[in-house]
Amino acid sequence: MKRDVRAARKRARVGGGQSRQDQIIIPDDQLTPDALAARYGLAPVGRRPALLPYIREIVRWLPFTVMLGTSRAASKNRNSYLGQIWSFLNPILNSLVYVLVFGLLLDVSRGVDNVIGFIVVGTFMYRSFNDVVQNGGRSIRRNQNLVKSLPFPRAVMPIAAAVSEAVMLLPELLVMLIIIKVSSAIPNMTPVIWDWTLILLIPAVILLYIFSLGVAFMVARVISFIPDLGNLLPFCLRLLMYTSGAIFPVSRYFSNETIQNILSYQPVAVMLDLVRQVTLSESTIPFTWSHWLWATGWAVSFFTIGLVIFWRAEARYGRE
Amino acid sequence: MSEKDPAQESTSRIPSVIVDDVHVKYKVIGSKGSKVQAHHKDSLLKKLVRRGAKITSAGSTEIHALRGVSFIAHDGEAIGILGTNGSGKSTLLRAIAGLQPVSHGSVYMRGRASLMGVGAALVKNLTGERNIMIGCLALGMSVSEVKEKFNDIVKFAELGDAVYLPMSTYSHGMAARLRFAISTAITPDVLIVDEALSTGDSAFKTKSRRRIDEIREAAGTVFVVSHSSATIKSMCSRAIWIDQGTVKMDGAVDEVVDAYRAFTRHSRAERRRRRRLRRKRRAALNGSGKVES
Ligand SMILES: Nc1ncnc2c1ncn2[C@@H]1O[C@H](COP(=O)(O)OP(=O)(O)OP(=O)(O)O)[C@@H](O)[C@H]1O
Ligand SMILES: [Mg+2]
Repeated sequence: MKRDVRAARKRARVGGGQSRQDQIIIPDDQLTPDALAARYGLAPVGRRPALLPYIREIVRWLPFTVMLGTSRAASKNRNSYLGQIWSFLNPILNSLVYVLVFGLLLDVSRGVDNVIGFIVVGTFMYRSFNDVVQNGGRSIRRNQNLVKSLPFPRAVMPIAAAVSEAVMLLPELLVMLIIIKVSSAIPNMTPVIWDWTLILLIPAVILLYIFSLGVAFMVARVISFIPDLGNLLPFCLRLLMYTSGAIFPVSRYFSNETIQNILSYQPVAVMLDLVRQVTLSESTIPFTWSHWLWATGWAVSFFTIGLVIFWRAEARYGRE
Repeated sequence: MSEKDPAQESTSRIPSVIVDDVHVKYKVIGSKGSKVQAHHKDSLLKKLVRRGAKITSAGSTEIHALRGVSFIAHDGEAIGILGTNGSGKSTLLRAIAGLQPVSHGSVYMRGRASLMGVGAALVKNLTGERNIMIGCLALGMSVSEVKEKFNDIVKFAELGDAVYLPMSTYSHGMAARLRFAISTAITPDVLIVDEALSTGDSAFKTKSRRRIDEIREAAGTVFVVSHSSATIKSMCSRAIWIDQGTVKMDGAVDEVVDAYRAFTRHSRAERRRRRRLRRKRRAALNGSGKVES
């Protein structure tokens, strides 16, 4: 501390842009506040840091982020008899409904070899994306209290929401794989044969999360300034679910090739197909490395753009 | 600036916090409420819009909480902030800590401010031990730093075996001790104490006062908000009186506290006088009404 003071004095003597003579002549109490601040090396408070220092700050706060995310996940289903079991039952029941309605009743999954596997992967993965975007997007508003009392970089809140989802992911993936395996035994379904590519499930899910977090950053910025748009979010996400082929292969319903391409190379569809490539043996979704390029491209660009969009408003969160 | 050089005892006059014409406007979304007064001359459309906004609670309002606050704090100073409820003390301190975006003006500071805001991060149904971890991480410490400081924090908070119990079992004072111990575990450059000492017992008050003095001696700056003028007088050398978002007085602690006391006493007397007048008038009216009927 003492050294700090001395350093500040030294800096004052050397001076920023002014000549030494000015420094001696003008006493402290006649300087303008910003000149005085510059003389003693005071930094402006509440200004947005540059992007790189900001990212470094985020990394520094990572332990807190992880702690926050995990304790949120742990307290999620506290007030129910089945507790954490609900985090598995939820997606299972969810996919069951979709399998019944779309797979068996409406039979819209034409040309799909294993309808159950197709829908289960789609709903499990889409739900993950959906929850990261919803919870991450609302995290700034929901945690006003925290945002108003601690000086962490605001990006911690959406990241913690993603961590909280990711904590439950490993057991969920296991449940998903078990359902796929069981579905192979059902007569009407084509059996699923796994090979070494199953390991790629992990990087596929990581790409999905990077992408989801990027979207969550964008949504978080928008919602924290225009909360009304938060009411539209569920509708947008549901529309996106049906147009991404989470439940039925939507692109096959169009004959126009441009529309087909747009529908199957849009980011969410790419992410879903990526997971299906490695966990299912659908004849229409063969394993291709080009899909991985697409996925990486989408994930990196969405994450980067999302982070920049979020960071640009860093100094303005919490004006309420 | 009308400073009367209250920090006579500090040898150095190095500014540590510069607050320059700070304005803070809160944006309140979705509440036009009853605050908007109707004017008789308003057009029908305007009235309808207002009525509609009132029913649906659509729209937004701004609350101008700080209206141009300026002062300079120096290293080693302890500054008391005085003012009535809602005058803007907490808002000012949050702006200094960089937690409240300002709409005009700027704040400059050396180092980091600690607003003792760890309370927001603590989780009630987790143990004190775990909360110390969460709280310290929330202040930006690393895990190894927390482990190093853990014993100091427990010792300072004097919680004994209660650290291993959930925080929901703590009394107000115990929780306040824990919060204070966590927030001062690393010596901040600027410590901000907003009503955090009011629930401690006298032993803890003395102890926290000693801790604040330590921080001050390490050339830090301390801001104390308290509604007790005794607390302010005993801890601070300088005081700033905030009134309706502006600095009403800034100077040596005794002068400002006395002026503030005189003001509150005067306004209380004024209010009492007005109430008495009103009662008298009402009584007179009632009396005449009875005679008429
Ligand atoms: N979150 C908020 N949204 C809108 N207005 C707010 C908010 N917080 C405070 N205000 C307003 O800002 C003004 C100043 O509030 P502030 O909390 O700074 O007062 P204070 O001096 O700390 O009062 P107290 O002595 O009660 O703690 C008040 O008029 C209050 O209504
Ligand atoms: Mg207050």
